[in-house]
Amino acid sequence: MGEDGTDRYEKIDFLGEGQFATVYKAKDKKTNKIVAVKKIKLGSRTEAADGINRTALREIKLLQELSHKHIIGLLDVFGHKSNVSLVFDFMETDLEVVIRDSSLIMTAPHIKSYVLQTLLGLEYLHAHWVLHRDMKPNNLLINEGGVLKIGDFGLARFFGSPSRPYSHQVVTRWYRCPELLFGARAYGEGVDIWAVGCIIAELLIRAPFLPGESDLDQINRIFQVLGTPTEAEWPDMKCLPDFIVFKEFPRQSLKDIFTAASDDLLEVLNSMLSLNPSKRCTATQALQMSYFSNKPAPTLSHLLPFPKSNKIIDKEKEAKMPSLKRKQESSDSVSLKKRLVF
Amino acid sequence: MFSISTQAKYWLFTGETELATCRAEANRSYISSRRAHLTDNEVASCFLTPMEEKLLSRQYEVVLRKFCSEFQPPMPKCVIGTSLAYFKRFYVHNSNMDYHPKDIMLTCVYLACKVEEFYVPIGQFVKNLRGDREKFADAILSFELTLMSKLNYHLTVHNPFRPMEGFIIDIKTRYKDIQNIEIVRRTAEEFMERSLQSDACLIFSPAQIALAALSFGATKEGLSLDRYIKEILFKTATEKEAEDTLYQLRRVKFIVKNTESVPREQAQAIQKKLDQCRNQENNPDSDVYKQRMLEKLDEEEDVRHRKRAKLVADDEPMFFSLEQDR
Repeated sequence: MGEDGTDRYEKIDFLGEGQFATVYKAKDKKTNKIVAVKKIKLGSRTEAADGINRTALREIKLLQELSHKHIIGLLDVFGHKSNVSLVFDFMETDLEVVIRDSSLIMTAPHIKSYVLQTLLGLEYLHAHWVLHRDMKPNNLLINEGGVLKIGDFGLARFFGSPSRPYSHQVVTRWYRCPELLFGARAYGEGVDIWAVGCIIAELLIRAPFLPGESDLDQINRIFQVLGTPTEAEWPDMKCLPDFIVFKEFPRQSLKDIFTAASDDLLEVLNSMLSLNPSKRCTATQALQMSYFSNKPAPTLSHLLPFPKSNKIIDKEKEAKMPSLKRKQESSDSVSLKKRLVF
Repeated sequence: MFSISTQAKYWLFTGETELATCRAEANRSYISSRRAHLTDNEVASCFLTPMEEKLLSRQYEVVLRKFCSEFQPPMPKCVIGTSLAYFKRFYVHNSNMDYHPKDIMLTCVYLACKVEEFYVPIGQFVKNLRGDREKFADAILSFELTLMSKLNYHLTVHNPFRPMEGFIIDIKTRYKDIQNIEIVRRTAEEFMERSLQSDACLIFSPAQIALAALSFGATKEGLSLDRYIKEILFKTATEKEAEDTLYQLRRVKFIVKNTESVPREQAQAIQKKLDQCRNQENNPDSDVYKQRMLEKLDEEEDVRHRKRAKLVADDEPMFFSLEQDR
């Protein structure tokens, strides 16, 4: 790593631009592999007052230490002039596109495959003391072989030893767990597990499960569906910094919400969506649940349905380009037809 | 996880000999690039010797630690450990004459703050320095990318502080021979402090350094950890593995004990020599450096303008969402 990569990577296509980076599809002339090159913007002092962007630094420091089939591969890093570029595995699409492509039929074995691949990646991350802190369908990238890899480590961090308080302003709102919404500054794997629970629910109903419009609305929606936790259920809740007393809602039965989901999947979901983080299963525990050993077997990666377009076809949204923020879609996605085909 | 880390794979050297070879090579390569027709005698009087370079680095490590210990807001230990690890790694393959340790030192601390999630904006960072703060800020930011690239973009550093806490907990739980391991903490921490001043972090794993520190502290208190290491820690390992570890611990202690401070006059003499032989292209105060930075930025600016113009013209569809409100 570190050699001047400008000669090594041949730009093929422009993929997107964000506040901090520009992404290109490129060919690695050394290996003939197609890769994604993310060029981090630095520019002058006025533009980048604090030097190299911290989200890019997190991706570099963490992904250099990790290597797993279901984690996005950081293949190379190179500096050129006053810029730094990260070279990633090229990923054709992501789970959000798959979920939102209404022409795709999602069967139980498909869902099992996506959940399994996600959990295998997450288990590896947690075993290496990394919290992702931004699990959502948009960050579950899928390559042309249908292999799912967890991507975007811009909010990830090492965890496990008592240190300075962590930020609670992490995880995209719809996937944010109750302890974060109550301002917890010390937390663990549970934040990623809760998000996976929301992703499974989204796979089942083909629409965001808890699309809150504000932080307050988010926690309200959570309690409306999963019930307001009682003192006995979650004794430490009232100690959280931003805790407020909520109206008491009864817990709805997940069976009634996800009518077509099998009992063994509901068991996984129930555990992941425990309001009390200490009662949530870990990735390893989830993988040991009967859902993964019961029939039907998960679909093999290369047989998974593939979206016709790797873009989300939505005229209204295209007008809003380039920022493709999920949070902004709350209004139109609620009306998305909920479908569940088995 | 240390065992699969870039630190274990790329930044552990066999010992002082290998490190000396690498540093001598960096020294030689710098000199050969600019000695022109100088005789060996002239080279010796103009350029730093590998020994002088090593003393200079040591001196700046002391400065770095002093800077960190006085830093406001107070810095967690891991930031200091990571800064020093970056600094040491940098000068394994680079000469002090090529990059002045003063610039690299501050950049190491600044980068370590970011990597260890101890975020201090650059404006606040340079408030800890006396002098022209704007100039310091410019220098630090201009070396940040160079530093990262010379570190091969390996930014995660495993420090010995956490393993030491782990061993203390383990000894309390599993080794009943020592009733109060806390009494060795102070001496052990002093040992770790001194280890930061040595090459230990380039030779040994953080766990070995931590265990050596505790073992050193125990000996001072008339206690011994040998039985803990052999019978508890290495219970399932072979005898050879346990012996090897005990040998490594002795090596850590030897290396740490042999670190000595650099006499002030000697350091000043080396600094003076350095002013003559340093690479002006990497001197933020030099005209050639300023000129080069300007050119770099102009070129980048140019490219960006052209690209922006192209983007507007093409109106290409995009599907990558990189914007996050962070």
